Amino acid sequence: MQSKINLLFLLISSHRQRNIGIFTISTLLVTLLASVLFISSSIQQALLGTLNTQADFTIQKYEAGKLCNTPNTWIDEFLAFDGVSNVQGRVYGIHYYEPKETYFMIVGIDMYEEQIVKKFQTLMDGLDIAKFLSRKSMIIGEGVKKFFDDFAYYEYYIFRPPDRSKEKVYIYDTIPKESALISNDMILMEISQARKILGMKKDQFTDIVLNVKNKEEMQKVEEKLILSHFNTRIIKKNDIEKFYTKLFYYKGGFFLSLFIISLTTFGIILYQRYSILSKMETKEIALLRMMGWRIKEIITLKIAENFLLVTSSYMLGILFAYIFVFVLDAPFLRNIFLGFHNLENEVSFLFYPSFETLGLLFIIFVIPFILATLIPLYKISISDISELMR
Amino acid sequence: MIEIHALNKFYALKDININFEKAKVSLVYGESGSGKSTLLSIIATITKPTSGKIIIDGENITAYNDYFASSYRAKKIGFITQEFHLFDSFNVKQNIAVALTLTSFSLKEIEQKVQEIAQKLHIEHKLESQVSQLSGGEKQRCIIARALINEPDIILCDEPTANLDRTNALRFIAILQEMKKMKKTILIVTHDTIFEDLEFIDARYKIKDGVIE
Repeated sequence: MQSKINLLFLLISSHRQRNIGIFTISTLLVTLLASVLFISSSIQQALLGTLNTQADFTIQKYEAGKLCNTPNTWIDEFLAFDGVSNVQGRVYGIHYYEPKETYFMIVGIDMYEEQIVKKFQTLMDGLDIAKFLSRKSMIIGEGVKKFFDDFAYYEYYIFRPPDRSKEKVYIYDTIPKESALISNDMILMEISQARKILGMKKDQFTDIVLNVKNKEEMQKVEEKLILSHFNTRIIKKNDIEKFYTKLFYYKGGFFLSLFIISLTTFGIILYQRYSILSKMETKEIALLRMMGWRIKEIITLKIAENFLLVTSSYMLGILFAYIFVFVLDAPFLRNIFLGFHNLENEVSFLFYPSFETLGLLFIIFVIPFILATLIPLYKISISDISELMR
Repeated sequence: MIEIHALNKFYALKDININFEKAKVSLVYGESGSGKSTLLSIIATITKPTSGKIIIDGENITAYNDYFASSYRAKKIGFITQEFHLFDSFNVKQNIAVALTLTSFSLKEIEQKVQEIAQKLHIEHKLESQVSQLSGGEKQRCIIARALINEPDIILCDEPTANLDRTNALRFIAILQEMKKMKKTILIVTHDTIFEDLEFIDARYKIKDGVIE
């Protein structure tokens, strides 16, 4: 056994020129494929995580086809519907950041709503609300911070509300990079502060969200919402899912990976198909058979040789992909998936170990590789040895 | 004893009936294309005959499947070929040791056996050399070492001196004489006239157009 293992490594070393070629190509391809899978899986998980926190319905008000603020009286109205819970008004809006000619999303947080504060504290890792409220403060996304920093707004930023006053708001903290996928262009502040900057009245919300206790009653509640006001736009949870899907297009990543896998496999099959028939390997197989190696043993040896090669390149590829995506934040590749919704997203991808995905990649990559080796190898192995020796 | 009965191979051998004695040196000579190498290949089970059988130690080796034929080649046959059939990317030691990979010897035992056989064939100083660095004679001795290392009963030599100069050919003959003393059954097929008057050869057979004359 020991001598067979020795021979295996000798053969790997003797085919080093070809093996280094295959190893390098395979490693690069696995790195690329695994990076694509890691990114799409990370985005998918982040989106699913966000979706879980979304309300069942979001109600907006329209006037003459224009989105406008929603009156707070609607909250009580919706609360009166059977089966409805957690009716909340939200305040948010776009803020134009002139120095960079871009837009930020200002989100108002109701600091007197216990549940909202709890969620907020979870996001900001135990935020001290009293300290936050002690002066006009905001918590900003990574992308916002970068743009503020570019113009030396390290401590505060002065907003210009529609009433032409000046609102100096201090930068309290940055939203953790892990949630940058969603919060990159966000500015979070106290709800009344946000209303002031966005030019909203005290009794107005941007929209209203609500949940339905019994999911069977979704349609019934939707109908009630439609009938309640002629000028509403009702957004369901799955509408948001569709929006996110479009926004980040993670499925595109999946298809891209499948495409690359197919292309790669085809390339490797062709490469192997012809390289295995090299005169050198044919002679080696003939010599081994002449010395008493059985066809089965030769095939096992060759499978082991290729398996070792492809598995090590697979593992190295996964490691490189891990470093590329989760340490280096996937430069170049991330833009393919994230696009430029508003700000260039400074995301930090979170590792969600999807062993199924990795296993699938292993199967898709390794099995065709081995099979491609087997077919020509078997043909050679069953040939007349004396013919092979010539 | 190697008993050959009514052996045929398309375009190469016609109704061969011959017995090669055990522990003797037999020579089959003839022109190129006369079928002598084919005969040797069939005895080595690396070519299948069209018909006929070869009995060695009471067993019909032509009926062997891959499992038994491989086992027979590994245990009983030492094949010395006319071409320098070596692993080009291995060194001499690795080329010789590869013949023992199917055995249960430990790496240390294999190393020891390689040293012993290399000493016998005077190539111990070349063990670490690559095949490309060897002369024709050294390559031939490397092949012989590989053929002998697992102590086979039958040594098959296919045109063993075809690629050797006269000095190296004579050295090879000296090795054959040594092998005979070791009671090996040796079968040489050649068209080299150097074997014509050698006394240690016990039996001579001429082959022409696939027929033993």
